[in-house]
Amino acid sequence: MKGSLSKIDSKELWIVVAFFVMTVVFTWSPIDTFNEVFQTELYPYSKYPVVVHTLGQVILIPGFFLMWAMAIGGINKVFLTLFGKNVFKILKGKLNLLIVAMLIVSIAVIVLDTILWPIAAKANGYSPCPYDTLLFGSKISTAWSKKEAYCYDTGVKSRLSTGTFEQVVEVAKYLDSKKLDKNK
Amino acid sequence: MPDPFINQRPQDVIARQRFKSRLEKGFKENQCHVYVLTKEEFTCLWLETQKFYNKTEAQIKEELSNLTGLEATDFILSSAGNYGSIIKDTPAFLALVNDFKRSGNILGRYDIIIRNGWQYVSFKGNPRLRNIITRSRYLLTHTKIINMGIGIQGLKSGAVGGFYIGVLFSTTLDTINWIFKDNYRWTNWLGTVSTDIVKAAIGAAATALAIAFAAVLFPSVVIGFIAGVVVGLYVGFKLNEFDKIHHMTDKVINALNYVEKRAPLLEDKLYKVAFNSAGEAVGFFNIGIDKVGKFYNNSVSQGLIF
Repeated sequence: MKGSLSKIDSKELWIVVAFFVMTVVFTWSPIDTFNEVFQTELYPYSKYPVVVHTLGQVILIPGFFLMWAMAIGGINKVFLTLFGKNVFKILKGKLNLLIVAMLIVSIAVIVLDTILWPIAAKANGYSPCPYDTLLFGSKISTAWSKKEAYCYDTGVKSRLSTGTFEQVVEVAKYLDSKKLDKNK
Repeated sequence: MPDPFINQRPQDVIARQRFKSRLEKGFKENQCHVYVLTKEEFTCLWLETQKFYNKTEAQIKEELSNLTGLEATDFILSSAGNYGSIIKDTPAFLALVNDFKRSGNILGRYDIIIRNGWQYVSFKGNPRLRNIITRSRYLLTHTKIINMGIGIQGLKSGAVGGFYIGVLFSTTLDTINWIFKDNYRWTNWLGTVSTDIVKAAIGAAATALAIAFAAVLFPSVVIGFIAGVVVGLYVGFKLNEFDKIHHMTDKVINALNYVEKRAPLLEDKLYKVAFNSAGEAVGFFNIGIDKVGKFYNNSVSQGLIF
C-alpha cells in the first residue's frame, strides 16, 4: 500500500478530487432537471398554448451520466493504481466505453435537438414569438406559441419570466381561465 | 453685330424646333421625382405604407426584423456567446484530427515523458505523415502544444480564450439589446453582463478541469477536446438553470434599479449632512476668529504687540 501510494501523481489526485466535487455540485439540482428536459422535448406534441425551447438543453441528460462516469472512472483509476485488482481493470474498460458512448450521444442529441425540435414545433402549429416579446433578454431560450397574440399578452409575459416547466403550466392555466371568463 | 442665325437655312431651324419639342416631350414622359428623406422620415413612411396594406403590428415587426436582420444577428451572437470557444476551436481541431488520422493515430494519443528534467509530449503514430504535428515529441511549453490545450499552460490559455470569447459575444448582444430595445435599460445591461461574466468564468474553469481530467483518464487530444466541450456545455446549462431558479440576474437588476431610485434621496441626505457640517464648521471658525480678534486687541492694548 505504501509503495503503491508513491505511484499516484499528486497533481492527478487533486484533479480527480476537484472533478468529483464539481460533479457533485453540478449534478445536484433543487428541481427535477430530467423532467424539465423531457417536457421540453415533448412540448411540440403537447397542448400547452405557449412553450419554451432552450437550444441544446437536452445535453443535460447524457451530460449527467458522462460526468458521473468520468468521476467514477477517476476514482477507479486511483484504486487500480493502489490495489491493482482485476475488478478495477474490468470496471475501467466498461467505464471508458460508457464515457465514449456518452460523448457520442451528447453530440448527436444536441445536433438532433437543434434541427428537429423547430421542425416538429412548426408541424404542430407552434410559431416562435418575436424576439422582443416573451423571454426578452434570454440568450438561449425562445418562446413558441400557438397564437401570435399570446406573445403580446402581458399576463403571459409576467408568468413566463424564465421559461421553466412550472411557468409553462401556469401560463396554460391562465390562458384557460381567460378563455372561460370571455365565454361567461 | 451680325445676327448669328442669318446664315441658317429654314430647314435647319425647323429641324431644331422639332428636336426641341421632341426633347421636351421626352422629358415630360420620363419625369422622375427625387425625394430626400432622413432616416426617421423614411422609417415613418415605411410604417405608413405597411399600415396602408392592412398589416398588423406583429406582421410589421416581423417584416422589420427580417429586413434589418436584427433577429438573425441576435441568434448568431447568442449562439456565439454560448458556444464561442467551441466555434473558435472547431476548425483547428478538425484539421488536427485529420492530421492525426493520416499518421494512424486518429484519437491523437500521447504520453508525457520527462528527459533531462524537461517535460515532453510524445505522440503516437508516424510523424512523417503529419502536416501539423511534424515531430514525434514536443516540449510541453511549445506553442503548438499550448494551442492544443495539453499541459497546464495549454489549459490556462484555452480557458482564458474561451472566457474572453464568451464575454465578448455576450456583451455585444446585451449592447445590441440596449440600443434597439425600448424597455432594456442600463440596469438590465449591467446586471446581465455581470452575471454573464461570472458564468463565463465558471464555465471556462470547468472546461479546463474537464480537459485535465480527461487527460488523466485518456491521454488523447480528441477525447479531451470533446469531453471539455460537453462538460463545458453541461456546466453552462446548469448555471443557467441555477440562474433561472434563483432569479440571480433579476435580483442584480432589481438591486441596481433600487440603487438608482435611492440615489436622489441619498444625494439629498448627503447634501443636508454636508450643509450642516459646513454650518457647524463656519460657526466654530467664527467663534475661533472672534477669540483670536479679542486676544489680538487685548495684546495690542497692553502694548505686547506693536
